[in-house]
Amino acid sequence: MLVTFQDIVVSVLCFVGIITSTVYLLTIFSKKKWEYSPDPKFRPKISVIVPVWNEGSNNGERIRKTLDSLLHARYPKEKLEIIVVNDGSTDNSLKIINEYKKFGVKVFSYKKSKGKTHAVNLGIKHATGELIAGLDADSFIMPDAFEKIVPVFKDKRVMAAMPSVKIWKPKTILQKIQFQEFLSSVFVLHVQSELGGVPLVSGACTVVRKSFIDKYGPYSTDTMVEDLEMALRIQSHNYVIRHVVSANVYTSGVKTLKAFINQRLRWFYGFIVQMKKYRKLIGTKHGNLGFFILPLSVFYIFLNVFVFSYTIFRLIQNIFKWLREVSLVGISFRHIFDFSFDPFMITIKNTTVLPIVLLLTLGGFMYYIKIVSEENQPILTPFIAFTFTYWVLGPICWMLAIYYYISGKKVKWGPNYFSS
Amino acid sequence: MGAQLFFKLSPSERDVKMSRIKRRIDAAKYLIAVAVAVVIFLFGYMASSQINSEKFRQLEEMTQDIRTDALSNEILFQLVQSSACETLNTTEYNLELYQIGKRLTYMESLYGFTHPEVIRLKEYYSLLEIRHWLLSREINEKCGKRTRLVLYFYTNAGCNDCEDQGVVLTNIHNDYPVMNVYSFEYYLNNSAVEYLKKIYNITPNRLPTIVVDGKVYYGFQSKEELLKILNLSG
Repeated sequence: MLVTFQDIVVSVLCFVGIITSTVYLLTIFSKKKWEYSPDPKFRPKISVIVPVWNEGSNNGERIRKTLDSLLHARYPKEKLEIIVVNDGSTDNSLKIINEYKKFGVKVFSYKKSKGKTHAVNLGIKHATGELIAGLDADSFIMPDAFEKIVPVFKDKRVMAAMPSVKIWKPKTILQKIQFQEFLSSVFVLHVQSELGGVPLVSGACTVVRKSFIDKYGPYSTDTMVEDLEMALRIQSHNYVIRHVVSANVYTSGVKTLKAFINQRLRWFYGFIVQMKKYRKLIGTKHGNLGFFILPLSVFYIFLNVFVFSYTIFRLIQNIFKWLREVSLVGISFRHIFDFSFDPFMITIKNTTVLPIVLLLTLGGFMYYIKIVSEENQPILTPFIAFTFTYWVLGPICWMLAIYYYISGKKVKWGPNYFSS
Repeated sequence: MGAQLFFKLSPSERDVKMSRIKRRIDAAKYLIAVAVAVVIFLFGYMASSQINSEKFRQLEEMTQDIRTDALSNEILFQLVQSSACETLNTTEYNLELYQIGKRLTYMESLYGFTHPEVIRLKEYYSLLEIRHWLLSREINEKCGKRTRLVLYFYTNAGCNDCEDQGVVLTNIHNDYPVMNVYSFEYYLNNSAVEYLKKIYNITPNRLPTIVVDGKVYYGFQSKEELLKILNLSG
């Protein structure tokens, strides 16, 4: 059969896809029981830090939800320290937060806003717990989250543990896309955790051992992806990060396309910067992390951008071809609905069948993660919305990030609240 | 503890740094994954070439079947001569030939026009075309002009105008099913086609060439020109 350039592109894509899926499948099926059952005797003190910046709208609806969820956590009250850091809010946020003092919530303030990471680090300075958790004001936890996360710290090598971060009640298409995006990363994290190489921790309720912070410093303030930096730092010291799949934390997701692109731009840009900083992790010395997880992430970026550019190129090519035909015979709508379907002309070959198989496999993975992460929200519409849009949105954000990185242009990030 | 299953500690390390891990690469997992990918690709390749060679066979069968239709029409025509005009129904025959042509084009797009099997089928197809053309011409003479017959000579080897001409002809055929196009690849080695090329004086630099009612038109013909030639109103 003729092999076109397109065939080669699709083949490479499928080949990488099959290898990745197989590794994922093998990992899932060889999974050992990692999640420790709740142990009433093992109850280290947790300090939860909530950075707040201008949360006054709707009478502080979001921040109230966040704090209420913490107050309702199934964890001994005396072992759960809640620290709110008001990062120079210019609205009535401080007043709302102060209402919570009567429930034992500790409040610290910056007069002028210094940024989220500074706020979190201020909280860490005042924290008395053995474990430190950060929780963004746009997120809230399920009551059993800490109960499920904490037992993994029985293992002395575990320095951080993160829950499954998902989108709560996605309404708009953009939120549905984010729902699927977050669910995919929950799946990937789940597998990476089994492989022993979680490369990032999320800002939403990741629990970090205080002794690690004491020894190696708090969250880095010179990066926009302080959570990714923290994860790679933990990994570079050969400690363990665990993902506890059934511990759920929900966030609302951004509302506008601009914010959506800006957020990813920040993540991806930060990823490139951190990858460069921690490039020594790639190789055979750091196990699955250096051999598979990180190289795959890097390769994925290039593949992503390349396939997108190639698709656009083909699209333009076809538009020109169509225009030429129109110039020859004019536009005729007479036969637009004459679909003469001939089963003879269905091409069965690797490059036509495998993409469909891979898409179904991906769907299967999502169903699996829905079950193991105990997710009750529907996953089908988000999956469809994601499949049809993300092949454009993802690469655009990656290309912008690469452009900003190469050109050295300063990016106007805005406050990096509610977006990690 | 499950952790030990994944991160083996070397004895020395266990003594010195109790809480650090020695990382491991699950080599077996990656080898299996690569093997799975290779097997799937090979299997897919073999299965698809099996299915597609089956398609060649199917197409071959179709060309055999069309003989029966051609033969029955010819016999009917010979049998009753001009009075057969009413009973003569060539619609099925036309459609079948048209479908074979389309499928052949599809196979050509899959395998390329240099594939020996494609060439063989195309040669056979041009014979079927010539036969259909002869019969249609005869019917037109005896029963009054029923169909517009177009002989079309082209080549896949470096002829941009031919591509455009193909687009125009397909478009006209879609709008006017009374027009039959018989297309012939210039470089096919086939004595009947060779003969046609000779009598209409067709050379490679004159492609695409169109023959209507014995009149020869060299070079690209636009849609308007062709409609005029074929006496079809737009």
